[in-house]
Amino acid sequence: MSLYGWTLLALSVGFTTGSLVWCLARVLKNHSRQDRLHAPADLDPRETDR
Amino acid sequence: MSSGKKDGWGSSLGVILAVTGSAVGLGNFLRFPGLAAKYDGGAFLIPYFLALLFLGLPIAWSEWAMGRYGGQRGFNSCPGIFRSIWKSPLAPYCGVLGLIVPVVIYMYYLWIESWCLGYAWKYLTGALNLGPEKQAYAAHFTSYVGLSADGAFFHQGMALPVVSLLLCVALNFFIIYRGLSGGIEKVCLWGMPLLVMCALLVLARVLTLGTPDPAHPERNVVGGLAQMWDIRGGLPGLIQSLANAEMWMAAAGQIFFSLSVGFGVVINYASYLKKKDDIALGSTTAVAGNEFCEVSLGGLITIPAAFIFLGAAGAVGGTFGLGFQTLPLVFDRMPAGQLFGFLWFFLLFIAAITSSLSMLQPAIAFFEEGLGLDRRGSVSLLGFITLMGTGIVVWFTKDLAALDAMDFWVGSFCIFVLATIQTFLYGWVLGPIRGREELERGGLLPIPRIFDFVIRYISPVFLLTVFVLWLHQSWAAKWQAMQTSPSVRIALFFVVAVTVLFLLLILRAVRTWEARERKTR
Repeated sequence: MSLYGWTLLALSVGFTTGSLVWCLARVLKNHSRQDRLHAPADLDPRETDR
Repeated sequence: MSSGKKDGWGSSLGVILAVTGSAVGLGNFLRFPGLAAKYDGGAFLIPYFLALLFLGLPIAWSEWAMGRYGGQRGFNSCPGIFRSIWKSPLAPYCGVLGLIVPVVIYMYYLWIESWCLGYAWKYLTGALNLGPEKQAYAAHFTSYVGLSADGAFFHQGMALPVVSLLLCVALNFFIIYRGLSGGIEKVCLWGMPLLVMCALLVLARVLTLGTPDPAHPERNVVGGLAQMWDIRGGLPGLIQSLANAEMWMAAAGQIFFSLSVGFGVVINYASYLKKKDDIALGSTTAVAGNEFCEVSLGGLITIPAAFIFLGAAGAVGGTFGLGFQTLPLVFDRMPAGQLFGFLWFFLLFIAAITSSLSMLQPAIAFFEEGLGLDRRGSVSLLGFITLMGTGIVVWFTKDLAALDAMDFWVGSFCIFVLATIQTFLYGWVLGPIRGREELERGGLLPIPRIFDFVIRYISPVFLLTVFVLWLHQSWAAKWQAMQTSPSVRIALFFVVAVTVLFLLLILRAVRTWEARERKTR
């Protein structure tokens, strides 16, 4: 395979894999942050008393 | 406006995987590599990625935004969402395409899904070791599908092809009956990682094959990768390839069909999101997931595997030829081919079922919100309509006439029309200001400003150019087939009948919505 082929392969596979990993990491980071927000420990007892 | 308990997604990851599952299908693993090999390997990737940036991604963003916009106004189906965006009396009737496109595609896609399940079972039980000749696999496919004559599919009685089709019908309706979060989302949360795992195992096998046939030392892994990725003839070859208009059209078409834009599915799925849920990152992740499966998995498996065992002449073909005739021959020659054959067809089955499920939901949403039916009623009505359609497809099997006709007129032509309508609605009716406001609310990713310009001007021009070129190329043959083949005419008559039925149901739904709106004023 020529250098053009290797370059194209590396760029295409790198771009698609990299963008998925980057996006998924941001989604999961936000996902776990949302989970923490709704964790029982985060509830203010004064709110539940109201 | 929907009445009663509202369906919804359980998590942001769930909706992303559901949209990715809807987009990832046989096209990612079979059609894309086949096209790349046909159009000079690596050169194909240049128009492909340009189409992704200027056509696929902008339309995907706009569909997500319009879907949630409609969802916030109480609508989940295309007719309702279009009506909430565009105040014209025509708007809900334009939305009929968002119902018939997924429903009709489901009618034949279900059958293809059952082939994948049947082939996976055959590999599991060792019943697909037909020897080293390609003709044996071609003959097996002909008999399995019933290509020789109309009705031949049923002449086999209750054999595997019919049983796997019935199983797929039951599975789809069982899952869809369980709703969005309890059915589709759960299947995609498990199915998509499983699909990627199966694909990675097959990929690892392909990349470690080395040079299996000493008589053909040129048929090795690097040669296989070159067949798919190399730019033939260096820079002059690349320039020559890029001058081929047909390749640009094929690349744009592949992006368009692969991302499931213009299907009526994404707009429906996004309508179940909450007001402040992110859609910018979610839509981009779904597109990235689809591209990963297509380029990084499909692009590294199919053509290299076929080349390593069959040479350059074997590494070409359409979706069905490559998938159900060439690859079984490859697995026959591959060490541990039975296991990898099973994994391959099982991953295709998962890819297919996550797509077929998504095709049912838009019509179910419409029956629920437009006709006031409950889940059981909606699923039963849709089950009846789709079973009739699938019956027509699997009866007229000679040369796959009915499937081919539905795929052309609904699975291609109507998709282009629906995508054009959606682009117009987002860019010119909803407008870039309201559209961006919708995209950015709760957004975890900034959408570039240039998107407003691209979706208003570049995407429609790109879309219409590809549409006209594609129509010019394919119209004559399909028109002739319609005039000469009675089975094509029957299939299309059925499609028209379903369209008329949906238009009448939309008329009734609009009256219900208007009456409800008058009451709330």
